[in-house]
Amino acid sequence: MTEQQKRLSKGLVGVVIYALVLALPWILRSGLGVGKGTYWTHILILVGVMILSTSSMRAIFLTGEMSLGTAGFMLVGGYAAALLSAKAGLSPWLTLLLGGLVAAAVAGLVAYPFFRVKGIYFVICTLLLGFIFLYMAGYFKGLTGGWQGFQFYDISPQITVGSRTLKFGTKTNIEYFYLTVFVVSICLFFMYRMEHSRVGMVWKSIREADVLAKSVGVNIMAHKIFIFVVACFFIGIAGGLFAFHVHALSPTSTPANIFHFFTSVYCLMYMVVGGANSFYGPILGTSLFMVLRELGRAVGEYWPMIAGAVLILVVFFMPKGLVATGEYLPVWYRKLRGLFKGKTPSSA
Amino acid sequence: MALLEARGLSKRFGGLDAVSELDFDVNEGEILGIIGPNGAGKSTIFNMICGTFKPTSGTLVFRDKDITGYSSHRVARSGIARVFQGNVLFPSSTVLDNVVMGAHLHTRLSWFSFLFGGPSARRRDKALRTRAMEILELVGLSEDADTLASDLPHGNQRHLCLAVALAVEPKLLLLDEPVTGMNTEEVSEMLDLVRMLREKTGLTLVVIEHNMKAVMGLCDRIVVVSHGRKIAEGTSQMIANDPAVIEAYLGVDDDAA
Repeated sequence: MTEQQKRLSKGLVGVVIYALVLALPWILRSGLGVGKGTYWTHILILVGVMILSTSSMRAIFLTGEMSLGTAGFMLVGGYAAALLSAKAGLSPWLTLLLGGLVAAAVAGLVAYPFFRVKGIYFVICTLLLGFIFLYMAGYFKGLTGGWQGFQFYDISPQITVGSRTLKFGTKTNIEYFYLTVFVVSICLFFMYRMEHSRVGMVWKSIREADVLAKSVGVNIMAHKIFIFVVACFFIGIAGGLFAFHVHALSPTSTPANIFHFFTSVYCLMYMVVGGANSFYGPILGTSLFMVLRELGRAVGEYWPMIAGAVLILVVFFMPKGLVATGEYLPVWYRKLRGLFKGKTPSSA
Repeated sequence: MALLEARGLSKRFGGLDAVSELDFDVNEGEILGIIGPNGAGKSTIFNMICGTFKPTSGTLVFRDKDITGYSSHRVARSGIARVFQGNVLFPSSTVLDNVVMGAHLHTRLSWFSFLFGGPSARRRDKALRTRAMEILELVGLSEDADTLASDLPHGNQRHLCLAVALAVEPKLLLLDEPVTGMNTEEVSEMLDLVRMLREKTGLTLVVIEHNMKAVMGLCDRIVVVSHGRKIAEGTSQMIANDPAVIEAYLGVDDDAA
């Protein structure tokens, strides 16, 4: 196939998948009945939110630094958007953006001191920052409603054309699902463009050999701060999307809370299982894992155990993640065939 | 007028004087060798020039500009490139991409094209790739352009390190032990390459090297450092006969020799 044909077929696959995503709520409704369809649409919205968070986390990872503050910045974005709408009366459209900007501003404040350290020390800084946000939301009762959290059921993004009003966030969730797809797509598009342009190449150079990158004139600190701020902006938007979907936020320290530290770990897991080297890795990992989790509700509290086991298996047998399944299958096939024929795998 | 002037350059690590009160000039167009026994402070000198370490005291003036204490990327921006001691490369990028990355300072894109690409970014990328191919031809790696840097043999990786540094288009190039771990044939190949580069591009070079034969044959002038101090300076002839140099390398006692 020529380069052009390859691009065309890739584009076609993309269009088909995108169309399927857009049709998902209808497929689920017709297949599973209205009630269940609504529940699944709710899950799909959460998947969208988490895809955005995981992809943003991977964007930071492109410079070689791992942030475990994802849930923390989702909390900042979510609370900022919700509070600005509920207490200052701003339009949810505006506060969705402002939530991202507040998260980005907070990230900008901490970025310089944080990037003075590298590797595991940076991870610890971001991890603890997430906890700080959680406890701040719990203790600053006057502003945030404290540990009980706060509700704002009457506030939803809406569009008014003439006398008709379209409210995103009705019982069927379908409008909100499309809003989520729209916002997440735009954010992912920008991240994709950045990764595949010159700045993405610079990030890669920092990840591979920061000493050399410095010596050819790359301002490493500036680039790391930039991507951290941009990623946290997108994570903040994910938090805002979540906030206007559930209409109730709380900082409770249970793993079920999306703002809890566990979410950051799950993001990391989705990224690794999907494939950290590919832009599509986090998308695939998040979708598969979250849908599997819903299908397997029966396992109850054993879920983290199973998820952990899956992670370990993937790390051992598919270090490039699920996106590289096509590469692994022929290798496994050859190995298996070799076993059955009694040969050593290497000679097969 | 010297290209780079170091005056009273010192670096202390705790109680250890790694480099103390060092004065030397690098003249435009020359190849200056810095030699000395192990632990003499040679690499520390490079690290201070390149901004990896801040000098404890002293000044570095490059092209009439004080660059003392500049961070690494600003040093590169003022026109100094460096080849590291080990083979420091972008290992999982192709040979060509390594050189293209080396040309970071010559990207010359608007911030929008830099972040999001587009037609002008593609055109610029093509131009940079053509330029990178020229550099690869110069160092004799054009056939390996699509190989991963980590798959190259040691000698070729060394050449690639040089190519990446050349892509910076520096006025001054610092080579940290360019021929370590090479056999005689590779050494002479590398030396020919460095000489050819100087002739073709008018580059000024500073070379740290352990291989005496290589340094003596290559450098116009040599600075000898021992225990962080300059003990001699001059042509290779002068250096080879200097009693202080012989003492530093061989010692005075018969036992130590």
